[in-house]
Amino acid sequence: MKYSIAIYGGPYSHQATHSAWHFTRAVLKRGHTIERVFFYHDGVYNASALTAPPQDEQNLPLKWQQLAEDNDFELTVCIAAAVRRGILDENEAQRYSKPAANLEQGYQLSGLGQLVDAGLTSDRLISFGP
Amino acid sequence: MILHTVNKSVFSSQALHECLLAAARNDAVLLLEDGVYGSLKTAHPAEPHEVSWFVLKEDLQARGIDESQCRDEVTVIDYAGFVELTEQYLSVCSWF
Repeated sequence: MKYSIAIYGGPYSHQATHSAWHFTRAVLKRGHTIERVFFYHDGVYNASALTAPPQDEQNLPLKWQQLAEDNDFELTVCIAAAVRRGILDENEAQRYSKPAANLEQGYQLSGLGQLVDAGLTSDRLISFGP
Repeated sequence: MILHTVNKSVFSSQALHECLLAAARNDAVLLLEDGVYGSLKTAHPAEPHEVSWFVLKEDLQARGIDESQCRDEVTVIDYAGFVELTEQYLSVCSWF
């Protein structure tokens, strides 16, 4: 079956990203496919390239990036939720005349329609709330 | 047939209460994260319920809760079991 995941909780304040990570790995292990992981609300903080956790802690932004690359699924970040929290790609940084962009590689900013699309085209959409 | 997930403690949130008001017979409730406290024998929900109960093993262990402390009707599952539930139930509704 095709699965999509929605993450609403930010890193270091809620368990959502960890739960979603373990669930996503279990989904893949059972032979299903992941179509898209959608980051919404404070979940967009997972996509910051400036995250610098201690070396003896998990770096979930990078682990998502690797897992998505290995298993060919999208890491989609809600653009409206992201730009108001200071998560910008090059385009948005230019649009708002900001000095830098900080969206982690492998993640893409896109509209909320992508979450609706995930709900329509995936067999299952699982949300991990804050 | 809906799988409901609850990730908030029954001692600090209305999430489980609201979930049970909405849940139908033949639905399932999976307790995860701080929601696992709702599986304790000391936290028996007041609402009448005819749902199937599940609790996530990893989150029980992370909180130092032994399976023997859980209510008899609650089935302990791991993440693979979580995925199996999402296969069996047609949709998943997350309460948080």
